[in-house]
Formats: sequence, structure tokens, C-alpha cells
Amino acid sequence: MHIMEGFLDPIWCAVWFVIAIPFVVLGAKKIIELVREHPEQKMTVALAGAFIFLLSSLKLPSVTGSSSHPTGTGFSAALYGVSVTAFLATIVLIFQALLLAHGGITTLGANICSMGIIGPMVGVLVWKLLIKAGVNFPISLGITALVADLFTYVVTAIQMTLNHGQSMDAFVNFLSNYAATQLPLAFVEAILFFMFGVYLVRNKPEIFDISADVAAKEAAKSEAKTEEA
Amino acid sequence: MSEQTQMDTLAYSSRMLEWAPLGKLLFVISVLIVNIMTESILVPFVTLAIGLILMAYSTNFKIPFMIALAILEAFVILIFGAGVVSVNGDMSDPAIWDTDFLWMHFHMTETSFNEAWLILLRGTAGVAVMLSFATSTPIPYMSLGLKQVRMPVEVIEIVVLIYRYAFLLLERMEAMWNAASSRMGFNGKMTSIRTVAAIAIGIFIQSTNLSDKSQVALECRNYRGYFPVYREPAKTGVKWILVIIITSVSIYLFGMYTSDWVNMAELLGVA
Repeated sequence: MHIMEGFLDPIWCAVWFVIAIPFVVLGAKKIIELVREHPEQKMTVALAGAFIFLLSSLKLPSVTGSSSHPTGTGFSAALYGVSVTAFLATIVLIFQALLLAHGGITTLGANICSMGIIGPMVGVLVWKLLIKAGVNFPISLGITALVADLFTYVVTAIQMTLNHGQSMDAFVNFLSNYAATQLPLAFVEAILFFMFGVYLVRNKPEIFDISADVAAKEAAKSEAKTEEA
Repeated sequence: MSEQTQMDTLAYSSRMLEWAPLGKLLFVISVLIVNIMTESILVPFVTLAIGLILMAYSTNFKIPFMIALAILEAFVILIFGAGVVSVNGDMSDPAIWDTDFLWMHFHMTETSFNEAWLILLRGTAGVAVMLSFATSTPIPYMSLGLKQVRMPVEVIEIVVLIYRYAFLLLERMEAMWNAASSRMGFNGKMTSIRTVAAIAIGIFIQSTNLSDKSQVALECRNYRGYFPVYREPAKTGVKWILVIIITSVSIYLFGMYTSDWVNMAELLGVA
């Protein structure tokens, strides 16, 4: 969900940049520290960024006939935290604006806030709550992606309302218009990440430090199935 | 080839490739800022002209089909977005169109109508200017240009690596996509979602494997945390700064002078 170039007035562009900059700088500092202390981690961080970039170019079918793409920031936030996600999202958003004409340069601050900070922040909160509550890993990942996606789009609607209209009617209009593509997309992304979670538990349980008992449970299930067969 | 790959190929064959990348970037940013600084509807036309002239010089307008499609998609989003802005007018202003649809209330005023046109033109001009930069500057060049503004080396390296690895992963993703497509993997919405999930996890696993292998390969080559570049791009000099200042100030003054020249609502007879 990007705000395109030219959609925000200079004052709002500045406001969103001011809000975004501390998070991006903090993320950059964290990454610089990590890379200086462990140069071998550079590849892992770079590939995480490349993965987000690629994930955002995966076109999914949506209800209006157009295609939409997952943001991947919910997943990244659960994996690396909010500030690192904000930094990686900044790089990805610049690439998307310049290479694909999606988003913009003057609206970059607003897009970082919605896609790289607030959406993932709420996503991480939900992720931690679900994991603490002992909810199944793939379901937690799916719900995190759903919530991060929904909040990204709610924040975008708020950003547009503050600039154009500043009324409840305007907010409802922006929210309703985005809902046509974003609601189905959020659910599709949730299903996608649920399946992603299932694959991760089976193939790469160490990535999320998924507790041994989850992997053991999965192994026991598959063993039981084999025995049944 | 994907849009990204085509854009990369286009940028490396551009006539503006040797121009200072930082200069181009600062020029684009300043033009985009000035583009939104005034209320004049004529300023986006000037910005659009700058974008198109640069793009014409850079590519001879030989825009690949995939990129043209991406531009068209961006334009559709702009039209849709401007349409929504136009129906969110101030309730205290007299309406030129007012209606209810489901739970939504549309209130189009002369001001919101003009604002929507301004946004549409600003967006179109912005896309043209951004693409003129993208078609002439490969991302690694841009990143190296950032060295001049003392951007930490680690950040520059990460930007370049993300870009480079995105292409490596993209190649693998395309192979997976074609393989899935030839096996009816996109037959129906649920199957498509399942296939996309399988591809996403495939790329993720590939990316972690690739990161391990790259690390070993680099250590074998005595990697010390940075990649030396022997042919650095041109640096931004005083000429660039002058061009940027003169262009921005001229556009801004033009915008201030022409801010109330055109009223789209009157011009189109809807006021």
C-alpha cells in the first residue's frame, strides 16, 4: 500500500519524514553495529532485504481484478524487529519508487511510517502476544501478516485523510476505497504466510528459534501419518 | 525478463550513465520537491517536460513493454487516487456533485476537483522524473554516489548487496514460477495462493543457503568487510549544484507567478 508521488502536501511530507527518520537511523545504526562486529552477518541482512524486495514483487490475484503484492514487513518485523525492518523497508521502498514507479520520493516518509514502522510494530505486538499465548506457529505468522497488512492500510487512510478532507467522512471514504483491494489482499497474505509458517516448521525450524517441542510435535504427527499409511 | 531486470539493462545502456549519479539524484529530488511546493497546475507540466526530455535523451524512448505496463499501472493508480481525493471536499463549501453510495458520502467541491487535477498532474510528472533517473542510473552507481555525502560504507554495501542478491533470487524465482505455471500451479485462486506460498518459502530457503555459500566464497577471497570499486562514478561538482539551484528556483518562481492562472473546474465547465 503505497502513497504515490505528488499526493501529499509539503508540510505532511515533512511531518512523516520527521517521524520516520529516528526509526530508520536506529535501524541503520543497529545494522552497522552488527556488520562491524560480525562482518559475516552482512550477507544474511542483505539477503533478508533482497527477500523483502522480491516478496513485494510477487503478484497475487485480488478481488478487483488487479493484482496486489504482499509487503513482507510483518514477517521481517517478527524476524528482525521494528527498527531493522524500517531500515530495510526504506531501501525497498526507494527501489520500488525508482524501478517500478510504485510510491514516491516525497511520499517516502509517509510510506516508511505506514509500511515500515506502524504496521510492523502492531504486527510484532500481536506476534509476541500470540507466541506467549502458545498459539500454533503458522497461525501466529498468518495473523501477524494479516494485522500488519491491515494496520498499514488503516495508517495510509489516516495519512490521506489528514492531508485531504480532515473529516470522518473522508476517512471512511479512503478506508472503504482501499478496502476493495486491501481487505482481500490482507487475507490472502495471511493464508500465504500461514502456509509459509507450515513450510518453515517442517524445513527450517531453527530460523525462528521455534521451540523444540513444535518441531517434535510435527515430527510425531508425520510419523503417525506414515505409520497409518 | 521482469521489470527490474529490464530497468537495470536499460540503465546500463543509457547515454546518461556517465553523468554524476549523486548529481542526478539531487536534481531529481529537488525537482520533485519543487513540483509540490506551489499550487500552480502549470508546474507539473514543466516537471513532466523535464522528465520526458531526460528520458528521451537517456533511452531514445525505447521503453520495453514490461516497463511501459508498469508506468500504465502507476497511472491507473494515480487516476483512482485522484478520484477519491476529488470526492472528499470540505462540507462547508458548496458542492458541484454530492451523493451517497452505500455507507460513503461523496462531496465534490470546486476546490477538491482542482486539487485532484493538481495531484494527478503532480503524480504523472513525478513518475516521469523518477523514471528518467531510473533509466539512466543503475542502483550500484547511485549507492557509490552516496559515498560523496559520507554515507556509512556499511549502509552503501548493504544497499548494493540487496540489489545484487535481489537479481540472483529473481532469476531463481522466475524459474520456479515457470515450473509451477507449466504444472497448472496457477489454476484457480486457492491453488495460486498455495503455489505462491511454496515459491516464497523456496526463495527464502534459497536465500539462506545462498547467504551461507556467499560467506564461505568471500572468506576464501580474503573478504575484510567491504568491496573495493576500481571504476568509481563521476563526482558531483559545482556545475551540478548550480544547475540544481537554478532549475529549482526558476520552477518555484514560475509556480508562484502562475499559481492562479488555471482553474480546472472552470476550464472543464463543472464549476
